[in-house]
Amino acid sequence: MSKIFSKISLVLSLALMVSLLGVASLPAKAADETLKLGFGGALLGNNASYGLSNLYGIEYAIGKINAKGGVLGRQVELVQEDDGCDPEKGSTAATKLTSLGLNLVLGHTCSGATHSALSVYGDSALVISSSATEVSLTESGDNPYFFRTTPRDDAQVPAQVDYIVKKGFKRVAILHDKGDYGLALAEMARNLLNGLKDKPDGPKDIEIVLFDGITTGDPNFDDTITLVASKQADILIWGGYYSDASKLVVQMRDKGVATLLIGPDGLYNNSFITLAGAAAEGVLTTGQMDLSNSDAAKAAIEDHKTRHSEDIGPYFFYSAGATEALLAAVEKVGNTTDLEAIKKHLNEDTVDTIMGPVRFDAKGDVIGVGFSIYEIKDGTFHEIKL
Amino acid sequence: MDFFFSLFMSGLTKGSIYALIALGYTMVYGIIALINFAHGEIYMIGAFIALIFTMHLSAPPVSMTGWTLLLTVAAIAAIYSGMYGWTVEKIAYQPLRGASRLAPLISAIGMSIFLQNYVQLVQTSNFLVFPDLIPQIELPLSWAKTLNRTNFIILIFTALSMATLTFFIKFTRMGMAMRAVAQDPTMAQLSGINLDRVISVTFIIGSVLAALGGLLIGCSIRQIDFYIGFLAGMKAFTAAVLGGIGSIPGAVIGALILGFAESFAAGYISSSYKDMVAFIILIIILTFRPGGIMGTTQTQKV
Repeated sequence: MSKIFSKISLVLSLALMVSLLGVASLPAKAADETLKLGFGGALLGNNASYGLSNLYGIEYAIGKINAKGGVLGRQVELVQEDDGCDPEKGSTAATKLTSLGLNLVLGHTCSGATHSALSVYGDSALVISSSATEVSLTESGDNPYFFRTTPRDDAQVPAQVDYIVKKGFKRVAILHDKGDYGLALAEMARNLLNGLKDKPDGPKDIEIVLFDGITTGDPNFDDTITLVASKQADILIWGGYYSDASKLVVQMRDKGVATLLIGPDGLYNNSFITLAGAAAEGVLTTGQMDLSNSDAAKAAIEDHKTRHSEDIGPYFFYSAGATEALLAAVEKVGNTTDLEAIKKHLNEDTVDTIMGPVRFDAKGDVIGVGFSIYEIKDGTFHEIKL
Repeated sequence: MDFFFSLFMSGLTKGSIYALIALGYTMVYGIIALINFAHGEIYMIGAFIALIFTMHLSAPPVSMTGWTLLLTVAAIAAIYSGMYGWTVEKIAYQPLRGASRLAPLISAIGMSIFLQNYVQLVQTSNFLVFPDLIPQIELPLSWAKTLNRTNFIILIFTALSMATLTFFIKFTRMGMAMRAVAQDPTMAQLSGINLDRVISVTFIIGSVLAALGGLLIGCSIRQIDFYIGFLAGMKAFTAAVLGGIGSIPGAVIGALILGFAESFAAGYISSSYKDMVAFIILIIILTFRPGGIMGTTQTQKV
């Protein structure tokens, strides 16, 4: 009796597997008509503003290309998948995109989710991010088909140190949030500042008066602020995100501590200004170079305003540039499946895009784009020219 | 010397806030031997209610400002959170009163997760700007170096709340009933004390104090989100254990020790390691006095 049952169940499960195969192969056939690109990033939740900024740029670039007749004679279509900037959801989103037969992906938004998504894509998809800044994504060499149009984290600390040297600040305090992103930036800043003494033309009298961490979400930073004030620092380098930074700067100004604050691109968003309010005035941050001054960029902003009520956000031009560079390479290769050939074109050709000429180095980092220093004045970011 | 006094005042402020929340843990534990893990969430809800009503009351047609606004919002947040505390007890703890001790504990953890997610879903998961409700007051110049007006008001509010609570416990009939229930619930019931009412009042008082804590911290750091209850609740719970859970003066002393330990550790050792220093002190104290500073030594299982 039980033998009959096990045979029946074997047959049934085989039938189920076959039917599943049929379902899974359907989307791949449909892809013949349009050229499909995948997008993975944060579209919901706390970090949605970053992801939407990416998405708007990509949609703008695709819209422009489609109006000109598309790529390889086909219209381009974007398949979106939310990952909420969560590493776990990042790999789920990647699995979903690859199961749809997509091998060209734009994204992901945050470094952590990009990391986990890349381990799913492996050699089966070519990925270009416009906002994942963590160094090892390209530096490690583990991801041969990963490119990015955003400058890396290790480019923003030199910009900060450069600013400190040029302004002649002598006493520097460094605070971080003990997290991956914040601590790495803080340690980079410490090493660079200490290294200045060994440079023949570097200043010898810059002193790190404090290197310390705070607890994220601590209800009260008074003691840390007392410590910072007692060191009489000229400038405080912050390594971390905007939430703790805004609490810190609000309580500093409340206590009458006027130490200048300089932060990473984690502060380069409007949420920081909203949260810190008046205390945000005069705070410095590093941020991706402002690309909105060219004529093409201005036209894009006008066009964006007619379709969305939100701002273009910080990554619009970077993601539009990534899309244009990718599609240009696809056009030259003549198909979407030869990733090695597409990679070769991305590395060798310079493509004129809305963000300027784009070419990638052997590691996959974009060439010629860096960080600028911004100062918050009257509630907006102003680029500082040194 | 200024540095020392600054750290002292910062420790005192921190300790006061911890004390406001710790009182809720310790009072509930004293009466029904339950660790109310949803208490940190009541603190968070207090801050949210204060924010919502500030937005309504400071705008036309009411347009309140200054002290009227602060006191009205504090009263509303206190009442509203008191009702939350009462409801939580009725829903999650009262039906389990006869059950084993682990059942209400799990129920408390569930309540905590529920309230957190509830606020996240109906309000927002983003950080919200909390308005500065503390009126402009001029402090003497010699104080202003070490103490700003927000911390000054936090200290005043806390001191007043403690004094009122002490008076309530010591000199009112309900306070007496609470002490009686804490000592011997069965005997208290036999002598005609309404146990349900005493427990409800305990939850309401604890929630009111937590809401005040939420309001004051909101004014101090100017931003809140649905998750602020977790860390504050953990710290306050630690303070209550340190002082001897179940003991009201113990909670205040424990909270102040924790506040000072964190503050001086940050100032003289390292801000990165201040939590570690605070917890080392906790371990040392509990090694020598397992029941906490003011607590009675007895073997408990949690």
